[in-house]
Amino acid sequence: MSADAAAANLAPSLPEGLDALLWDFLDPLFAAPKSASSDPVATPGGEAFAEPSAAARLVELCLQHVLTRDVAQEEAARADAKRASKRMKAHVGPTDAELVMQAEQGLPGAFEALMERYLSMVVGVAYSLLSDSEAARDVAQDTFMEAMQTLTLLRERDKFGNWIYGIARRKASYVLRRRRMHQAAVTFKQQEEKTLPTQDDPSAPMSRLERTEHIREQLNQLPEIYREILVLRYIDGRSYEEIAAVLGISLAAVDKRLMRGKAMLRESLRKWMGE
Amino acid sequence: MSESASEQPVSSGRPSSEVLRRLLAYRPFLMAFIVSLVRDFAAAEEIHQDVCVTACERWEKFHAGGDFGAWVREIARRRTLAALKARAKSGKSMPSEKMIDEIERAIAKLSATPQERWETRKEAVRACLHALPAHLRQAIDLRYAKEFSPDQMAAQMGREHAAVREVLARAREELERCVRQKLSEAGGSA
Repeated sequence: MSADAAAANLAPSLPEGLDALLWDFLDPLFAAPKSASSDPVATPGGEAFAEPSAAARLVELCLQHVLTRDVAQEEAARADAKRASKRMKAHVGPTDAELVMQAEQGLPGAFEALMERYLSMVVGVAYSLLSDSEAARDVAQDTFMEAMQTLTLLRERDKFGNWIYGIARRKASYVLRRRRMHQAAVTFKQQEEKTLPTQDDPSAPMSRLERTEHIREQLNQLPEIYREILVLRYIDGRSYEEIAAVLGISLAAVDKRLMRGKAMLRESLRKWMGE
Repeated sequence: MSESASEQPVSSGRPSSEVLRRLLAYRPFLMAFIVSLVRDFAAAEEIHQDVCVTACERWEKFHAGGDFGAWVREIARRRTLAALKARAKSGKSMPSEKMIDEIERAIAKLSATPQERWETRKEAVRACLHALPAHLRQAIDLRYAKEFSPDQMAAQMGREHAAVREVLARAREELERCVRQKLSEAGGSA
């Protein structure tokens, strides 16, 4: 029996309102306020699903959730690419599919022709997100580099425009996240500087200042991603969730990055102290 | 592609195209598995990416004729559990092993459906998205394509939170009803 047929058979026996509860469970940001603090589909303590049919239905809704997102994002990219292509001059010569095939075969000039065709669109996509022409050009360069390396994975050659649009958008979003991260770190550093002791009392505060300066020096020598996360966690006292939101990474990544950052800082301070 | 291709070693340092092909085909199920546990697309994407990297690195250890879905789900389960444990440290609830087992079994059952059927389903989602009334389509676009928060959606749609939630629920319901109908019309050919 197919999954759909199975689900269709299952549907009549589903308890009324289960779908709404499952959606609240699956998409907690959009959950009804009364259920936002708990998992209504689970038994008390969250040990198991309260309804025997809940897991199968949850998974089916989840797949629908994923497919809807994939399709909605593809459609948005397609609409954007269509708008962008309308702005471009009409092309003469080989089609995208022909150029992709030639590029795959290693024909000189084929990939360059695709680049020429889509450069303004790719830069435009990146610029629309970053509002920075230099960064947009860097994103374009990375985008074409990745496209060249993974061209053989493109199944529908005539969709090269949509495909490259998606890569550019992803890369620009990544740069945007990094930029937000950097801005956050700069802000926190400024706050940290404001809290440094003044030189009213030159004895004890100076030694504290000296120590702080040394820690900061060691901190500054760490790779940027570790420095920023340590500042966020230990200087600004942000929670894991807040850090994840600011940096645009998962909680697991926050945890991993903090552990590595702490280990590196510890090592670097130990060396400085001559241990 | 034949199963023998799965024995290709990763000698060049670049992942075998076979593992990439399989990961692409399995993506919806893997994402559904991860999303059902972490309930956050951004976190799920990151875990999914980790899973793909690990699968490419360990591809040599996957034996031809083995159950690719089970193999890659096991990687996903470990990665997701690590993420959930980190989240649990900051007070968030964590699903029990029993719940994770139930979800995994349900995913395994769904993913046994032939790939062509899921491609058909994706196309049905696309057709139904186009067929949605404008206000329902807008809710789907804001939530899924632009990934707006409830606040942003409320501002964009000029509605209260509760109303946004209702419109989104109706849009999902209508989308699912339409997809079921299309798949039923396609019948055995899907």
